[in-house]
Amino acid sequence: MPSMGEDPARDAPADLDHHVLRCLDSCHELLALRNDLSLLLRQGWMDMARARYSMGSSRISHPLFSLKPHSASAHVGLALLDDDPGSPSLMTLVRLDAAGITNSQSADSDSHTCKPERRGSRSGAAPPDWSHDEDAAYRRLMAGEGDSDSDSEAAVETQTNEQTRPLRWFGTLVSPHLQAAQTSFESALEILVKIANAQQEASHAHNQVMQQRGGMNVDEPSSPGTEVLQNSSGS
Amino acid sequence: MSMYGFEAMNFNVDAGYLEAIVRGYRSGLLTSADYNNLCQCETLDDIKMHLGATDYGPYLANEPSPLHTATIVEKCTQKLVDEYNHMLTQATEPLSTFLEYITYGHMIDNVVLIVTGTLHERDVHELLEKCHPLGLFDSIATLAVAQNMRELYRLVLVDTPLAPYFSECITSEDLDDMNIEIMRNTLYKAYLEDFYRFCQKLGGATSTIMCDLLAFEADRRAVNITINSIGTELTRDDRRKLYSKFGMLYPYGHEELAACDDFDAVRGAMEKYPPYQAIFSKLSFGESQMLDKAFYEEEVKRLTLSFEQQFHYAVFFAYMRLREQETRNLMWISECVAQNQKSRIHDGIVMTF
Repeated sequence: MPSMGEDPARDAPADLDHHVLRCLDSCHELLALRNDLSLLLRQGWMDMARARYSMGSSRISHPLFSLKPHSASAHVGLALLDDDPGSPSLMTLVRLDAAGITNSQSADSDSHTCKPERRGSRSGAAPPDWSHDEDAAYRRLMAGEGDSDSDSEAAVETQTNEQTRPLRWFGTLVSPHLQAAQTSFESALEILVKIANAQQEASHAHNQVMQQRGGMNVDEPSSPGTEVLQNSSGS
Repeated sequence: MSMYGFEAMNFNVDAGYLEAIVRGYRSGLLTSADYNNLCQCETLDDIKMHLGATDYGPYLANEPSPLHTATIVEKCTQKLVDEYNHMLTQATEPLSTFLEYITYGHMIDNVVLIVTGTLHERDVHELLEKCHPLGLFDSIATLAVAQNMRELYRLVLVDTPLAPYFSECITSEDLDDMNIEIMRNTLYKAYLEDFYRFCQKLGGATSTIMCDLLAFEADRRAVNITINSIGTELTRDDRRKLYSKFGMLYPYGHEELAACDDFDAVRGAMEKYPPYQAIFSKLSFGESQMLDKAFYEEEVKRLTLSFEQQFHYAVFFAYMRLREQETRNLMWISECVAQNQKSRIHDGIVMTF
């Protein structure tokens, strides 16, 4: 029920604009996360090939994967943000740390990503086919800097069991390239959870836009971008 | 033991034919023109088509599409094995023993592969398929039953050429990741030292050239062990024990390497030696990514120089190593093409000619 002084008819376009902008921001963040994931996976696979080149094909091959039963190194927790079934839920990546210490770290912290004993990362020049932005994005990811939108951040509880680290399957003295590959894949796991959160957020924002449009009885095409442009030209 | 400079008198009696054979094999190594063509390939089938015009043609001709990187590596290795077996079956002593020494490194890798895979509860037959063909021996499958190194030695390895190398690492401790790694490096250290002594006894040009090549190998292994062990639970004393007791870095370089805690400290230790100063000068500070390629380039340079001289056994060793480098090059090219990262192709190719 509108309070005294509020005009729902005048506030509805402003609410729609707000929801449209929020939807666009969510989509932008989702695309950025997917780009980050693609960078990490490409670099990870390249590092594995490099490690195979350095250590030999027989030392890095699938017969060395351990078939012993072991617990997962991470799992995803799901928390509902409120009682509304249509609202997005927050997914959290929970890992086990070598030190056996559980550190619940905030999403805005720089150290929100898991830090193994020794964190290999690509040093030196960027691959030649990477743009400056891609290289900067990769370095930012490996330094553990998070996105600014706390709603899509995956809070990471770090409690990684050293015994389950796949790196140990290939030996104790492995090439730095293999360590860098594992770091890339671990970071990719975190990004995947963020993508899941971002997808939920984008979907929720889109639903809200559609609800707002339905409430205003607007008969224009459904693209939120088109809506924003039309509202701007009409005012 | 022959005197240096007098090999021409009697080398060809026993080994002249095989030296001619290996020099013929050498002319089949891929050239820079071949690599340029391969770098233009868009798919693995293109690579297969280009290799069809080389010595690898018959080995890849019947492989069905889609091709995999592992298949290309397997066929390249098969060609090397066929050539090696052709030479070994026609070699007489001491060349036959020299040729067998070349395979002991692969034997050690196969032993570690079987033991590690068994520890990870893998099927033995699957592991045997992944073993290097040059390192196979009759009782290799029996390795899977050993629980510790003492059993490993007593049940299997006592009857293999690796038996003498086990004296330093026989314990009753159960096999785990760290023990296996130490066993691998200890065995390889003992093998290199034994091979070095054998080459010294041969004398002449073989001794001169092979001792230089093996010393470089020992030094490179010392650097790799140091870099790979930084940040791990391997102590400095354990690290020092894995370095071979010969080479340019022995003993003072090894003392410095044992104390290194990061890549720049390794660089500082290595730059005191002119041949390695040239290698590290190609890398920027903090850059460790290209070190293995820099070492491979230096190795290839030394291996190709060995063909400039006649009447010695080092050409056989050099040929085997050059073919292995070629296989690594083809593996790298295939990976870059398969992953659609062709801009990285030149990061891993070491040209022979």
